Amino acid sequence: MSLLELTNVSKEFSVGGTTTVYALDDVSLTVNAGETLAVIGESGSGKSTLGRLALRLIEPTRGSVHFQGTDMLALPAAGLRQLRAKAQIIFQEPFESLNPRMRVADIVGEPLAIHQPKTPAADRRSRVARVIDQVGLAPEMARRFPGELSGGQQQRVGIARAIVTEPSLIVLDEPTSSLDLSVRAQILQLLADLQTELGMGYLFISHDIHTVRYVSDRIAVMYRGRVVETGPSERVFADPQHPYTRALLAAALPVDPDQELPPARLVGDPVSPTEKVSGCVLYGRCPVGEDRCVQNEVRLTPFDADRAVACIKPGAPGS
Amino acid sequence: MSAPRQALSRPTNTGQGADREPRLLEVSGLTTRFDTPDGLVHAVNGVDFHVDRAEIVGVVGESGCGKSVTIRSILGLVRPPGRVVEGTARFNGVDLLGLRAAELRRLRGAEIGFIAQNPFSALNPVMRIHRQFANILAAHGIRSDAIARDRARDALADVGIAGPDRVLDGYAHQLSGGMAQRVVIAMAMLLNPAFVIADEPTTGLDLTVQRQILDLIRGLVQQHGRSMLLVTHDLGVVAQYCDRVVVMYAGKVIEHGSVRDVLTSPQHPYTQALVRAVPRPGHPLVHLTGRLPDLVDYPAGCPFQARCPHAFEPCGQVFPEPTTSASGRTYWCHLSQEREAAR
Ligand SMILES: Nc1ncnc2c1ncn2[C@@H]1O[C@H](COP(=O)(O)OP(=O)(O)OP(=O)(O)O)[C@@H](O)[C@H]1O
Ligand SMILES: Nc1ncnc2c1ncn2[C@@H]1O[C@H](COP(=O)(O)OP(=O)(O)O)[C@@H](O)[C@H]1O
Ligand code: SF4
Ligand code: SF4
Ligand SMILES: [Mg+2]
Ligand SMILES: [Mg+2]
Repeated sequence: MSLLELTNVSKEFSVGGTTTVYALDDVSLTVNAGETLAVIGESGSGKSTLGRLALRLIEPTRGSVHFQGTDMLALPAAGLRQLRAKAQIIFQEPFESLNPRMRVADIVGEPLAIHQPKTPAADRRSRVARVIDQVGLAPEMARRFPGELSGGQQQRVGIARAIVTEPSLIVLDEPTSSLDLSVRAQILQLLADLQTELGMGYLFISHDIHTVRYVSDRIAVMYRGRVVETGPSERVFADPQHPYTRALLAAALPVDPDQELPPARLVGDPVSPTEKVSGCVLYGRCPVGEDRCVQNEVRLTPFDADRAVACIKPGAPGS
Repeated sequence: MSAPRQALSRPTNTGQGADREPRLLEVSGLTTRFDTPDGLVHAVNGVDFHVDRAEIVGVVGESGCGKSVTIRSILGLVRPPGRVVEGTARFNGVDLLGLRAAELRRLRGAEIGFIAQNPFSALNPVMRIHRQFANILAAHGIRSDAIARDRARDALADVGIAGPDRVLDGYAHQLSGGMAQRVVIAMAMLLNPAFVIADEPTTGLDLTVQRQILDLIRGLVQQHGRSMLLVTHDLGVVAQYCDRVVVMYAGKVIEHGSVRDVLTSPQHPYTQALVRAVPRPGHPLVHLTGRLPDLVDYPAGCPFQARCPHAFEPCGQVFPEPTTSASGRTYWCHLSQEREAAR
């Protein structure tokens, strides 16, 4: 049984009554215990929407979500509360997700107070102090308010709060984007240690492909609300098939100032998320697109035993 | 805390001579504190650096080391309980820190453009994009709506937005992250500033869009001989887009120099750790243990001492003097004396 299973999930937002945003379009994926599934992709491709759906912070328009075999969408409020102790999220915007009027220690301790109210106060305090230390925050930060912290410090508070209940699943939405490299590595190591120790599953959303390569077992690449390529990370990194995956991996900036930057492979802007796409979502920006790419639906199809690609000519030369 | 260092002690710093044109931006001794119930937070502690005309200078350093507070101090955006307690930030010779609020507001926008980290927080969610452009222009004396629309269209075309009217008549939430970031850049460039400050302008954008945005910003900067201060966590961005780089630690500049000098032969132990932390496929991740010192109880001597593998006796006593090479790279570490002695 998978820890988390999303099946044919779509999410449409309606804005201003007249416009529809197609945020997710028929996405299926699973996360197993002890495993990290990384989700990478375009900005606005639906990654955060996917993460929120996985914990039922928002409802899908279509499709189903199962957590440890339980149908999340059928759960009554009480059951959902219980489940929240086992599935946590670290939000992308650290500041907006922290209560500005609570001190760091109370923010980090809140999930314990809600989900494990019988824990003695002294135990709770020492757990909170330990995780604050584990995420690399100084003890005196515990008394500060979120507004008195830098972006990276706020992000660490979000991480501390998510791990304090030792959940089975954590959705990490860009957990390290405002951290510099040395701190980032420290947090990633902490997350990896916790995973080994507690067997947690991670849904790891990130733009940082260097990081993703380190932390993930499998990877799903998203573009405009769809998964366009998926498979074991090492294989996808070593031999990407979808033109978007290829462009994304090639766009990494070398840290060596003497290394020549190759020309950008994708031109133009992604299709607006308010347009319903027929055919391939990359058409128009794809360097090897052709007419037949928009004449028929282009959906995720098995490429080999453990990979799938949504392209009519995967691995085409020139992409 | 150590005494403020003399900016003039740097041999390469020739921009201050009476017969020379002043530097575009010359920050010296900048010190900013936050008076919190727990004590004074020493967020920025005697920061010195400069930006010349037509150059892109990167700023890197551990989160919480004072990059954003440094920028906010220069732009006059530090709010109580924060206060700039010392230092100068001369822009074309004029000390920004001594200006009245209204003068500074005029300068921000007209001469210094600011690109904030999160485009959606920089845009007003309930105001049409066109109004937001018009308001900026109105604050600088351009009140005609028709002229405002023309100027906004041109600015959006410059950032590669086709069909600018659709964007101008809409709201922020209708934009994707990459489009919103372009709109914010267009706003920052609207009044044709000579100097642009960008705080992590591409964090949170995917690499293909990041590439487009950085190429665009660089083009706009180079095309008009502008300069830019670019805060980033990404050493790849520094390597590919910056001319010089400033490395900060615990509210101090600990090394600066040309990108090549700093990235290929870092001298300060913190910079060395930062460069070593760049992930390399097939190698385990390297990280720095420990954390930034307590900025309330700021340590005497070198702020990196608790994490430094080379710390020795003088490090706990005084902040090191700067050492500058012929190419202008400067770093602040007591090891320099040992290195000198060993030569
Ligand atoms: N509440 C909402 N109302 C309307 N549109 C929304 C809402 N939430 C998200 N969207 C839209 O849905 C699409 C997917 O958004 P999402 O936040 O999931 O993107 P993302 O992949 O996380 O992007 P990023 O990499 O920039 O964080 C975007 O076009 C976004 O503007
Ligand atoms: N309003 C505030 N009150 C107290 N401390 C603050 C405030 N804003 C920032 N700080 C502190 O100043 C230091 C530098 O912050 P900042 O410049 O935002 O860091 P960064 O280098 O990540 O941009 C941090 O230790 C932060 O906690
Ligand atoms: S289906 Fe066509 S347009 Fe889409 S990625 Fe493949 S080649 Fe490009
Ligand atoms: S001054 Fe001393 S503690 Fe600081 S970086 Fe140099 S050797 Fe390390
Ligand atoms: Mg997101
Ligand atoms: Mg910052």
